[in-house]
Amino acid sequence: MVFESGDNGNGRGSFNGQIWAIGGGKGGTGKSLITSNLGICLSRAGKEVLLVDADLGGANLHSCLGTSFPNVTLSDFIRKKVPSIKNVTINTGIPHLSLISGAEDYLEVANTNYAQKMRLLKQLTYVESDYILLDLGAGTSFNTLDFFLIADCGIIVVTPEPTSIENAYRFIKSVFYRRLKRIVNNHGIREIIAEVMDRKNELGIKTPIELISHIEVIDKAIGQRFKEEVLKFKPKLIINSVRTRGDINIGFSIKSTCLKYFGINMTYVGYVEYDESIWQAVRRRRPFLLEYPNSRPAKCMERIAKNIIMNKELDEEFIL
Amino acid sequence: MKKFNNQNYYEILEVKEDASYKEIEDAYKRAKETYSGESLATYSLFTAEECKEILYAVEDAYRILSFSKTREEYNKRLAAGLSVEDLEPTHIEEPAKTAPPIVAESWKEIAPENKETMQCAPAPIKTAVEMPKAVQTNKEAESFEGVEFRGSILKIIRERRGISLNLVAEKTKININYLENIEAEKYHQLPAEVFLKGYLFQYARFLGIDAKKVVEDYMRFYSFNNGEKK
Repeated sequence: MVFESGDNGNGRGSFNGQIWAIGGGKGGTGKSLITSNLGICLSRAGKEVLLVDADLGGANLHSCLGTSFPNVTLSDFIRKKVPSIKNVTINTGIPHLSLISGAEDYLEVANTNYAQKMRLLKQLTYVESDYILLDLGAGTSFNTLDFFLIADCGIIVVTPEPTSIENAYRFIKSVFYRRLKRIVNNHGIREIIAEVMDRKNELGIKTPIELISHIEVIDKAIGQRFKEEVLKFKPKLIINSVRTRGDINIGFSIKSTCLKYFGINMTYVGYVEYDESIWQAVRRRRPFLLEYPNSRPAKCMERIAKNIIMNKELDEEFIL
Repeated sequence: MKKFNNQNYYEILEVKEDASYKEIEDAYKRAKETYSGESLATYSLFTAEECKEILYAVEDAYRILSFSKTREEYNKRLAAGLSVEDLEPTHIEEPAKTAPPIVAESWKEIAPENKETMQCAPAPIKTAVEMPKAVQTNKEAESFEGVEFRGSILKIIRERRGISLNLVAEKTKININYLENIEAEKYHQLPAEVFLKGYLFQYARFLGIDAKKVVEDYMRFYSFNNGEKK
């Protein structure tokens, strides 16, 4: 879980499943690809899975699953064109796997406020499922950040390239500061957090660790609360498109860097090998897990799903 | 959660305290890989200088934790509640280098003399009424002579100089909780004697007062109170 505390009373009704959010800042790192194949892994294990395309303006999850552009999308529900969330839930043709597609003209939804997002999420839980997977868009819009925070499990997808890693750090920082901002009412402290988001801030505060020591001096209780939040915040990390052993190790390096810089302890759940078969599958608009179930990337996906469910770290002994 | 330079060796290597030697070995190799080259993972958050600092810390940690003898010794010290900086034994017999013992004639004189350690103007001299009993009952309340340096006195001296506890912690690298407990005379919440002495010595030196006497006095109160408990 991203945040393990007190989130049970968040209006999820009788929903006993888990919500996973897949994000990571940069576009093109394979978030949709991983979301869809992760969904297939879970569905093949007999779980009911609902995939939700929350990528604003860039919805393409349906393409990863090989379904044609859906007639009904999430925005039909938000605009109240249909009465129930179930009306926009479509069958993917894959057993136990259903999909709510985002629309291409989804952008106006970008202005939904927190309460609306919570309501939307609650609606999603009315679709009977064990897992709800949210495919988040690129960037660090409040929408993306909030969905990431609401989820039980936040998953960050990174490719082993500088821009992707930089964006991932920016994403982590934005998510984290947004979370801190949401838990305090103290206006002064919220101002400080907003100020600190700017790297060249006058306070000279660069890292969340420095921020928290600064806050602690002002208000010990809030500082303490923030410390607890840091400990609870445990996003999962996936490295996509790895080609070398060095690429795999970047995951460990990112984990270490985040711990030393942000104080955030990520769980490196696994990597997906780069493979021609993935791109062949993508071109055919077929999930690679179904096209090439015995391929190395498919095995990688299965291990990732397992590690997330078991809350385990990638074990170096078993690197393929 | 601490900044990496306040972390203990296990935290620096990111291993559990019961980590096997293989785990320590692996963690070391991984840290070397992460912080020595131009890793994609580090360059946007850490400067080359910071990476070097981390590497030094990693080397130190590995040197100590990779041998059972040094590791055991370190574990003992860790259990006694000391931080990484204190790994080198503190020699309290060593004479003060930066601030020689000052035998002041009055409190008034002390304050302006220590400009280098002051962050702001000294607080106005308080009247005797505000002084705690130990000082009040002393005929030479205005002088350090005959003053017994217990926690409450140290606090007064510090406050008179307008020095915050945070600053002391920052400059001396002593954990602020220990400083608080030293001043509050929470004797049972202090680290083991040998470290306590080191802390007192550093703290006194930072305040520019007779470090040796501070240690002597404080330890007298300390053992008196600890003896009472038993």
